[in-house]
Amino acid sequence: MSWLDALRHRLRPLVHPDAYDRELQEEFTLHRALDAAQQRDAADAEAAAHAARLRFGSPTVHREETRRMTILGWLDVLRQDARYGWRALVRAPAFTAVAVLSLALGIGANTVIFGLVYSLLLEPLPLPHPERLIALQRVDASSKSGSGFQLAEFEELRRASGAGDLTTFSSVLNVLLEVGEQRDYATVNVVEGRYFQTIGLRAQIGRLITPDDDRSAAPVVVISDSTWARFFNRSRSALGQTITLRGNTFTIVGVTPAPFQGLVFPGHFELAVPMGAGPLIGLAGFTGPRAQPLLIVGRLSNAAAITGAKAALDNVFRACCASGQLAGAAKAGGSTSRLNVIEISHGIPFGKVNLRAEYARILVVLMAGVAVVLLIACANVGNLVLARSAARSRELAVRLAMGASRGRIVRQLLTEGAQLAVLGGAMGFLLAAWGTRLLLQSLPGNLGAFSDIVAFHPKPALLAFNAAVSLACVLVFGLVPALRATRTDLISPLKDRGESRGGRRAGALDRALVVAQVSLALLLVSSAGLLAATLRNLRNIDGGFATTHVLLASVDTRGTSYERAGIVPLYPELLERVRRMNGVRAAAASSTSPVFGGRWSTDLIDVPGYAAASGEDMAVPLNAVSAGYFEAAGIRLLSGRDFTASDGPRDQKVVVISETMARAFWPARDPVGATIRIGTDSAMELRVIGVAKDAKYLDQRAPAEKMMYVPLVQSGDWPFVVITARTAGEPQLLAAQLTREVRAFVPELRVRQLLAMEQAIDQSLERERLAAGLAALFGVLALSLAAVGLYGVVSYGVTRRTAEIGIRMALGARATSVVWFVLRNSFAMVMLGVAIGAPLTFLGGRAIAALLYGVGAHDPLLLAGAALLLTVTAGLASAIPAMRAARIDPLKALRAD
Amino acid sequence: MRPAKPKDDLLPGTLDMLVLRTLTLGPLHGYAIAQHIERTSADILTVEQGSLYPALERVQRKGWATSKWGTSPTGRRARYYTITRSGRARLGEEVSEFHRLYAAISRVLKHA
Repeated sequence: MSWLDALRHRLRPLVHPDAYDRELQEEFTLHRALDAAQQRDAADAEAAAHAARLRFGSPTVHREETRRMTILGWLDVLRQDARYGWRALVRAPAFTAVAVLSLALGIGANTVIFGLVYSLLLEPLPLPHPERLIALQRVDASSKSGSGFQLAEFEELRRASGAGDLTTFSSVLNVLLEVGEQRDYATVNVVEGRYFQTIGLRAQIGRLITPDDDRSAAPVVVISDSTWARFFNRSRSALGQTITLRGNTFTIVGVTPAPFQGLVFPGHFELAVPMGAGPLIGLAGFTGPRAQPLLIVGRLSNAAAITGAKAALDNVFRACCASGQLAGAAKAGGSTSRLNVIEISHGIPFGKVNLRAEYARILVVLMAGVAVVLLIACANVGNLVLARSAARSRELAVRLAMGASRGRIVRQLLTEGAQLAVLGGAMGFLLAAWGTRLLLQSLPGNLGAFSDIVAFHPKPALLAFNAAVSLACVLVFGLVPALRATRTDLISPLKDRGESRGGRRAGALDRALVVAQVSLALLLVSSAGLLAATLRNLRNIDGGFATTHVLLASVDTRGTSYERAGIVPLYPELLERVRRMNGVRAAAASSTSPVFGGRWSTDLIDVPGYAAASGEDMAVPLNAVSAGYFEAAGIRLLSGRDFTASDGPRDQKVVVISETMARAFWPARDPVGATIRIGTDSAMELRVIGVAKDAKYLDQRAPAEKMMYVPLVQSGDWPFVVITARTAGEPQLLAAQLTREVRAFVPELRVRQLLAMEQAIDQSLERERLAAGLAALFGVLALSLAAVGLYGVVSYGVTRRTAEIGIRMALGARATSVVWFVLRNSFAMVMLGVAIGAPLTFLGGRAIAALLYGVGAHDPLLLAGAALLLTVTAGLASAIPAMRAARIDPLKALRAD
Repeated sequence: MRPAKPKDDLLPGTLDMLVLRTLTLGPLHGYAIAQHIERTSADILTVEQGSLYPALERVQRKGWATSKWGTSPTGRRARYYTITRSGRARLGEEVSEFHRLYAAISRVLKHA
């Protein structure tokens, strides 16, 4: 393979640079020695050696000549270029600073957004061969949702399946965790002995849970990196220490690595204990009617085996478990279910809401926006490079005239561009790390809860993205000016003294770049305006409930000794205490609250006298509330009455229904006094005593759903309630006092979530806030970058036309007309930019139409506002050079020429 | 590669051809290659070291020759160059090209 020999030969100096030089030296020495020996007959040794040296010539020169041909020579030239470029950059610190900062902002913003895209959409689980991981799902014929497995089923599936390793785990919420003096409620993963081994996770320190732990029901616990950091400040001494889970002592045996956040996405992994120790954290077991439902996951021998595994596991499942007899669930009619196998390289999807898809829509738009910011930044740098290469055209012309090849000069200029890009890229990476942290801090909502997932780590994918973007920048802003610069004819830059610099055409290109910047900035600013208007509209939707002066708190008995009895016996006295608080005008309890959330239960109803259409959904959600709820929540009663103390547990069961429900089932008459039957066995009859105005509980954009309100005391056990307090002043001011009041009443009770309604709304709008906030940030970035670009071009223009301005002033032009002369130029560029940008904003608005609410894709008022903002910014950016122009001393200006 | 006198270049690439031709005799070190060319040309051609080693570098880069360290008959360590199969093929092309050119030049000299 001669080409292989050739390649090896070419690369060898790179691998052994010292050996290369040494060997060449040795070869030369041998050559001279042999030559001397040849001459020895003629004269004495010394003279022969001398003659040989003379004949050989300078070894240094020969070595350099030979070396120049190798890759080392190429590297030498590169090093030379780099050193030369570095000197050029250091000599022009202002140019370098502005260029690097522009690039850093553009690349940094791109890295931040790509970081979000990567961690929320693209990143696989941080486990070896994640594409081989699978999860099993039970698909019931009756209900659409999978309901988890029982231990007996898991064992049957594992025994009979040859497809791969299967293991199982379960998440137990709200387990009381005590570490020393600190108390909190944790989500505990209860894992089968081979769980960690199967998914391929290794401990960061210590060990993970083993089959022995599981068999012997050992009270051991594995903690996550964040739990380790939170309670033990990442001290190794945590190993062997004990923590308490639901009153029982567990020994810490290991810590999982930081990237692992559990198999469920989006998830938050805190602790894991062996399944054998399940009873110690209050589980009734994994088989039987009160079993803790299990998730089954597995690892295939290779990713392609999934189809086979699907069929094999489904067969096993049909034989053993489909009818549910193993589950001990005596289902009427033996409703069968089947097994689905899914690939989980990106995690087990959590719940019904596809968080990935929700974020994908917004992140795609943000990614596009941030790419536009980068384009503007590149235009800036391109402009700077152009201006500079115009200033250097004399130098370049001299070098070309002296015989430097065009390729050599292009290479030199590209090296300089690459240096700028490397500096900008590195700084952008640091900015991205800082910006991501800032972004997470400003988002206390859901995304904040996923902060472990989206936190900035220098992952290889991010570094690669950063490098690729930087490289693309070099090509965009480096190559074009480099090619232009070498195309200049040699004569004119040498002939004149350098002030006409490239003439009108170079000026046209830099003005065109500014116009492009302005039109792109207009696009970003107007899109940010649309998203901000959307956010405002969403905040101001009338959902049928009070949004101001409302404090919401969920008070929970789970994980306490009151868990069995639930909150119902406790809440009346708690409400009394809250009502007595200073500044509270009304207070009530409910099982769920609009926006804030709670427990959402849905019941099948039967309305006597109403014939349901076939396939009509007769399930209606239910909110169990205390007396006075409608007043406290600000939901108006349209007819009938509120619940009172006389609607006790043993009294006639009553219900208040929503407007939409009333219209649906009693279109012709007032439903007050009518009867509803709840549940399939028609045991419960409720009397309708009132109709309430519609309240939108979930999506404020969708029309209101049907809703039933029943008294808490008539609706069984509830583990927690949401307290709604109407306040006289700022609701947040009462938050701490409310917590104290709950603690004073029953110290064990837990206030799980405490928010003003406005905060809850903000949290529910967090994706919209993310989009609007980042779009606004990009708008500001775009404006500043365009302003810098405009400033540069205008001030360069003033410098270039000093003589012309001097003549005008000498001929009697006043300062104001000189200022206007300069401003007119920059406004002309802005107007052109706006004219080009306006159709762009229409396209942009159309592209983000799906994210908008209550505002059209093209809002003329917003567009006009954006254009005005740009004009004002442009005016400010050109004011400084304009002032400078007005201060030009005509005498000096003319004499200098 | 230059003729001893006057000191101007022969046709470019000719030295490579001569080096490759010399290597068809077997593996040789740099000095031996130079010696062989000088002797064979009856000292009309002098191979300057400043041209020889870049030429050796060049033929290796093209994959026409490889080199290996070995021991000379006098017991000294020396780098021996060996022609590769593609080097032989190349040599054939160059030689026939050279003859073509040589014939053309001769014709011009004869009839001009």
